[in-house]
Amino acid sequence: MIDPSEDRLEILYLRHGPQALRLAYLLTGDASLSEDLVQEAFVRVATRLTALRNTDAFWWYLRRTVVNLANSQLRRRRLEREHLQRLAVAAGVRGATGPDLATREAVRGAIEQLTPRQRIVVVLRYYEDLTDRQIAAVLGWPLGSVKSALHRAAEAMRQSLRQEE
Amino acid sequence: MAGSYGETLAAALAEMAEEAPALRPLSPIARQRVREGRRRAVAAAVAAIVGICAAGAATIVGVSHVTATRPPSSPGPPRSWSVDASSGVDAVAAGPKTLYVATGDYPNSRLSAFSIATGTLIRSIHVPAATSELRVGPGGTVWLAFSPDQNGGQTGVWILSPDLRLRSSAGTSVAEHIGLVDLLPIGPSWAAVVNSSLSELTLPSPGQPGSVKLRAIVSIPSDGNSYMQALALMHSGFAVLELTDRGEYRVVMAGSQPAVQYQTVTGMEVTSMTSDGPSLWVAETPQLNGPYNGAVVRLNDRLQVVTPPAVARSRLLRFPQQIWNSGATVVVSTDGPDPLVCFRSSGAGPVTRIPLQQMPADLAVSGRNIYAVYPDRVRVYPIPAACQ
Repeated sequence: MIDPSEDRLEILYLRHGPQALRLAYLLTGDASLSEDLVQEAFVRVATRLTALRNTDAFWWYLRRTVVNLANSQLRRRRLEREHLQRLAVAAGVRGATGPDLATREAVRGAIEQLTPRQRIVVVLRYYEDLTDRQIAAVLGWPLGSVKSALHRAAEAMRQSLRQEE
Repeated sequence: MAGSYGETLAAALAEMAEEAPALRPLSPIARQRVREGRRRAVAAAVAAIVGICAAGAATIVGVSHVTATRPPSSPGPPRSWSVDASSGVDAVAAGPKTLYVATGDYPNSRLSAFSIATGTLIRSIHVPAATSELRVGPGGTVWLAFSPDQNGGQTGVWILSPDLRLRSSAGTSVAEHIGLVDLLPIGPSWAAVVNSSLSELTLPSPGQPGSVKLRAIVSIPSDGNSYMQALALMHSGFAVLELTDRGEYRVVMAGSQPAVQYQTVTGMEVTSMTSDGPSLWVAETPQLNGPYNGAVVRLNDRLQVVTPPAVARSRLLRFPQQIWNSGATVVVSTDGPDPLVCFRSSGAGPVTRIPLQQMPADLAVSGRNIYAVYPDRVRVYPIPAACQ
């Protein structure tokens, strides 16, 4: 059972917070928003799960809450377009990191152009390495929706990359 | 793109993740909210225990690793029981007496059966890959389809006895031929499946000798290269959900000529459908950016829209995802602030919220209950009277 003491709260936060923050950042593309979002998600999960016996499950609840909050934010604020503009500026100051730089930059640009639904499934599939079934469970979507969103994301990315060339 | 699509994408995402800000300490306000929230939760739990004791009907059932709790002053089934599904919930299905939960990646995929009456684990068996379909058929037989994911595994279809003790199987060659996009048990040992046509898959009864048969029943009107997504059995025949190569969703009646069909507007995705017999309920969600308004639509046996006004107008159904039917009740999960709602399939009565503590990993609807499966717990929610 999770101890409600401050120490245990701190341990859980330090253990899962960084991973949650990276996920939130990938989903929203906004550093400040992702920080707020992770704190909010942590409060919601830690508050509800006072009697969680299986601590491995904590990450599942936290990840789901982060994804849901990010999903709502994306829907409300249309962050994609704003972030795309910011990224275009940021891209100018990013240092070179290897021979695949041009390809990776193109891929990043293509990721930025995905719809919120496509971006969420791509991040969960290729960053979190979840199976289609697990993505469906995290999002509460039917399996077919996950598959078609992944398929459409792949098509959209290929199209973006062709335009880059 | 250099390297494989997946590898390049994973590398780009890993690089982007490195740019995430450093974790800032949990704010004092956040800590205070957690403390207050927990205090409220403890107070509510104490009140519930006091209520149970006062009723004099408290029963805590503890069997091996499963702990079940019953509602106060009720001899009925438990409201929740603990499970270990932290390896991931793949699928859930409910029969009249048993709840089936498929969990885990290959090579640790399992199917477990729990008694609905007591919450106790009846049996848990190993599955050769992650579960892709799990259904309870007539007579309580359990249909399980599995297929490999990025972790590996095999392809196959099993039919199992309700206690999971006996099974028959269709091997990889048959299973791969089907494609396993959906599987709809119709009889004790046969199910409707789709490949290029609607087919009948017959397996020997669980544990019995016999051969596996796959035979086409009827053609499916297809518009170019369509991808079959789901099946539903209506009184008038089989409804099939197709995704066309133009990215449009349409529902067609198998065998109809000319095609009896319902087509969504461009950009709308049919995420789920279920039949109550005379009609088909369809959940639609927009795929693209823009005004985000989905809908739940009822179609008659000619696939014409006959949605009851209360359903069509409900703000609770703007973001539908999955849809289930049990008796006279339709249950819908949503992507909105109210994650689970229900209404009567007759269309009479309001659309009603079902209060969930958290949206589960998966759920099943059977009889008058909803079984919500979380990584650590199964919670049983009665269907509200307004929806029955």
